[in-house]
Amino acid sequence: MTDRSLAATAGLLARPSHDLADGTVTRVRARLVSGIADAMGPATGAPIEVGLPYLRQARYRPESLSLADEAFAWKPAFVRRSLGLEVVRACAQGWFRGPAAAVGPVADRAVDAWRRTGWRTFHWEPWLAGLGAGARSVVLAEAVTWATPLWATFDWPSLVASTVFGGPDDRWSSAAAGPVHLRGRVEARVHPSDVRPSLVSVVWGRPGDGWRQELAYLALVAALASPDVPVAARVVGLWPEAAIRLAVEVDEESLVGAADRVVDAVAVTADIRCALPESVVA
Amino acid sequence: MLESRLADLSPDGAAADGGRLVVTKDRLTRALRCPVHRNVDRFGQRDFSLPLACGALVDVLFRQIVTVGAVGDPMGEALEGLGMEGHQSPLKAWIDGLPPADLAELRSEVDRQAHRLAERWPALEPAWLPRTQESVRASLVGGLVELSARVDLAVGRPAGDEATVAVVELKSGVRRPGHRDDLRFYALIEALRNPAPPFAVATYYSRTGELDVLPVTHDGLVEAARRCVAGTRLLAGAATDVDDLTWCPSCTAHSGRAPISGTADRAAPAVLVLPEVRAA
Repeated sequence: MTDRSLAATAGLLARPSHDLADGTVTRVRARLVSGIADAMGPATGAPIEVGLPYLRQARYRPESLSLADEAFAWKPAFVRRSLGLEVVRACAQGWFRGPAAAVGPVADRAVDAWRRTGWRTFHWEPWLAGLGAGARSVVLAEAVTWATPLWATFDWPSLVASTVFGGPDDRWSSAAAGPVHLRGRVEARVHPSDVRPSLVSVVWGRPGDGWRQELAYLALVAALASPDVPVAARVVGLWPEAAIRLAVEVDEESLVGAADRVVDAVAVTADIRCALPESVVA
Repeated sequence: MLESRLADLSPDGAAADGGRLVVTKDRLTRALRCPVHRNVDRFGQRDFSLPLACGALVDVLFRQIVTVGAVGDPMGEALEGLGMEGHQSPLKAWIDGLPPADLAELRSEVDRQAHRLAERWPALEPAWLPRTQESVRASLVGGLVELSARVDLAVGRPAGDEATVAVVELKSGVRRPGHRDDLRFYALIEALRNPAPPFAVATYYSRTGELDVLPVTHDGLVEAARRCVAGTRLLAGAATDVDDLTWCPSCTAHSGRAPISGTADRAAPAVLVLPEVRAA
């Protein structure tokens, strides 16, 4: 373990630098709901599912929002996160000496469990089971490459008792927010018993100028989706390609920034929808 | 040096890459050829050939050997692996359409190199954190320029304070001096994006089993930065003095200029031949 990873780990466990005032989440929620209503205006159409990729598209490539989604087909990039997270979890438990050693057994165990029970914990088990050795090795290799920076950044064995890797996405919707649904996906939640949790997000590419709101967005959705769970103290973002680790401390200002970023993205979508024929947006 | 010598680039030069000028080793190499062979078209598609196909297939098998430690049917498994990489679908279609004689030649070479790899490439200790096809990038000039690479193999703890990372590039063809330019480019990106540079970069030649190890030195990084500045300016359509430097030997007779042998290998490289360490 290096000094750098020990410091990063201590950062996850640190007490929050800001206390949240009473009613913070309620105020931010009200701002979000009214902002969404204003942004949607007369626009109609299919539900809008907001997530980090959507926020980035709306800010950096708004023209891409009007493009139809590709039909889904399994590929290694869709497996690497969930398999990679399971690999990190297995390594954190001390079962393997590193992601390269873990990936084969972890994948085999998932496929075996699906064959025995029919239950698809990760959804990709039947697809992986049907691949030949060459294709399978690409899937495993992608997962190792994805998992390694996450594994190496923190001292996971010391955190494993208080960490959930992956888990269900946070989801929030409300009648007042109309067709807008928020979804947040984090790679790990570190929640020691005596402090507010920290969230960890692994992000593709490099941080853009809106990285603070993007990280805070994950804390916002988690807070809205699970009002009984303490609001995250911070969100740590890893951009492995750029070897960058940044964190945002969660306070009312950062949550407001995230809510406003959602509203901005919804407004961009609404503008696009208003400009398109109704048959296209429905 | 990189920042100051690229600071005057116009954002217009990056528009086609989505607002940032993406600099890869192949783009640099094409841009820095002598004026007769230079190509600053960043989006040029390479022509497919048997050597190129062999390289792509052996890359896939190398990844497989590093990850799972074995290959059964090299050609079949390499094609399966290639089929998983969406950007390689044109190459896979080209291979699928090869005449039988060419396909047999390609299969023979892939088989030969795969067996050499399986025999010679050592199993890597998982604690070294081996990862393949790692995408790395470093931003310059406020994000206007992005140095980007995908390294065949990296080992060592990423983003560490000490130089613990080593990078290996696999080549299925013959050794060329330009390969060390590629290695220095990888070292440069790693040095820019991490607190510490890699301690070594190396090319593994799967035809021969040679491992050409280049220690990462200050002079080597400076040399890589100079080359990167020159190529990036050409790619951006900006003024550069590179025309005075890069006439290749084959064109020298026509240009009347002195030949330039590419970047000099000042650091003494170590060329090793990996012994056969495990059964095929």
